[in-house]
Amino acid sequence: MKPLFKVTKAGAHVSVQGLGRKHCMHEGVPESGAMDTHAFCWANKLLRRSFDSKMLEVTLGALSIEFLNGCQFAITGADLSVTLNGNAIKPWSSYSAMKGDKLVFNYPSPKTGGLRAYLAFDAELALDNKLIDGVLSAGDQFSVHRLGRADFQRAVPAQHIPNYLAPLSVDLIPGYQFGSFSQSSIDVLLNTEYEIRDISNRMAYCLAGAKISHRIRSLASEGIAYGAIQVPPDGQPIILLNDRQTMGGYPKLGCITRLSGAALSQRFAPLKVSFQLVSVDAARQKYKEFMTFFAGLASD
Amino acid sequence: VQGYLVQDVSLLPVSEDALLLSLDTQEENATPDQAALLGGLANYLLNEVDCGIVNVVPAYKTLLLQYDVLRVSQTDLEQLLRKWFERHSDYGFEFNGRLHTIPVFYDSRVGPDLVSLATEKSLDINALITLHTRQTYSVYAVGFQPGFAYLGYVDEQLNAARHTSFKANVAAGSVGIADRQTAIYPSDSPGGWQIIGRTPTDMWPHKKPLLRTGDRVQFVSIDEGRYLALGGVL
Repeated sequence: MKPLFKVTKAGAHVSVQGLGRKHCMHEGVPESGAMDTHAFCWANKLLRRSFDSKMLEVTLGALSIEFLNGCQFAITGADLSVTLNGNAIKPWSSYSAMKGDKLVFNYPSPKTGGLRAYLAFDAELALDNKLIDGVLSAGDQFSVHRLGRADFQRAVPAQHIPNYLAPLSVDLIPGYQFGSFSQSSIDVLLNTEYEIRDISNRMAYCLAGAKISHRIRSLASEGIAYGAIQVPPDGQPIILLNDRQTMGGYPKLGCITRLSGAALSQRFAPLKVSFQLVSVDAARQKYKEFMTFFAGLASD
Repeated sequence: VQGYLVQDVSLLPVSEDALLLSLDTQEENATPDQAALLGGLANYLLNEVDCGIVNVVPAYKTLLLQYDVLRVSQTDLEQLLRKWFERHSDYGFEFNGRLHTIPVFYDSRVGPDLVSLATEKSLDINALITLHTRQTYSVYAVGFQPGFAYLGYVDEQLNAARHTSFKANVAAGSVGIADRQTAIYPSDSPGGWQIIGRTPTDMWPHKKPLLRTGDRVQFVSIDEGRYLALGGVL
């Protein structure tokens, strides 16, 4: 095993993430995984890594690391004013680091938007349970089984770099109890710009805006899929994301798509979002194209 | 019928990579047979076929099924599920949900709501314990927190409202009641259920939950000496 880097300063919300756990939700364990799958997958692609290789999700910044061996790394997602040995570097690109180099993530900027950056390495991180499940703390050290090789720098083509300040209309697949909501409530949902509340986190994005009502008196708890929009008695929609509970009993309108959820995850309060309906077939096709692009053989 | 899979079972997409299977019955509460059926189906999907299943959540009368869209289609899964239901068309089919005997120390020192609940229900403590231990419960769902199993249904006389606010810390092993459900907290956590006792049994052995949907649970009342001997703490 080769030491790769040590954490010299850890923000409160830096964690190791993959593309979500498998075979865990029946035990009551959340799926988890990277909030922004778009940025996550691009980070691995830049390094020609398998699309689901684990990396660091740096929410809100305030992370500093020192490299203990040379490697290639990639940064995607939010621009958290990153510096490498004091020199500013931009996300959506790969870089080379030498032993002793210092990489510093600062904070999200209201000018560029975005909440979470992804930091990937060109080698498989050797992880113990603490590093898999918890948030990082200063002093944590990461190792790899085998160091990567020197490689060219790569950058994500401009047309694939999102603008996290652009107005966001998320795709909603009608499902669950959608049919039990009145048409007027659906109209309200589709014609309201909802404000993201500041209590939003990896479990859920809580929205504020026009109230939605339904006629469901009681509902047995059922499994909650990614992106489910639940409507508690106060009528304010809650979008359940990666760290959501595995089941719940509030009525649900359906689910926003995984790609919409990825874009939503980069927004913060008090930005606004709106909703549009999509068919499950169209959403599935789009998702399959996305996954095929990244899960296919790595190439330039 | 929309989403018709087989008789009294529907299957509908809820997202681009998840389907919700529902048992369509008139009764409000799920039955032990239904819990066993969905638990058996969950076990089949996770452990007996390799068909791109990512996650399943069997709960009461539904089973959420998340799948790898690059490996399997909705149509393939419909066929697979139809065949499974054909093999198990009789709900009386015996699934091997395991029977767990869970020792519980029913005492106000570990069950802060025991006395107040008994008083509210006009029962003496022993009568309350008898009502809680005299039947076998089914696991209808696992959720809320890792390994938290929803057991049902307790005797109508024990139907208890949740606390109006969450208690900051409910100890691991606490046995609680909410409405007509009962459960054991697998780890220390906030909680709102009425706590009537505590078990020394580890609900999360070998990093896996002890209880799974479709399993059955028999509570047994133990005294302080036995509770301490089994590793219980006061």
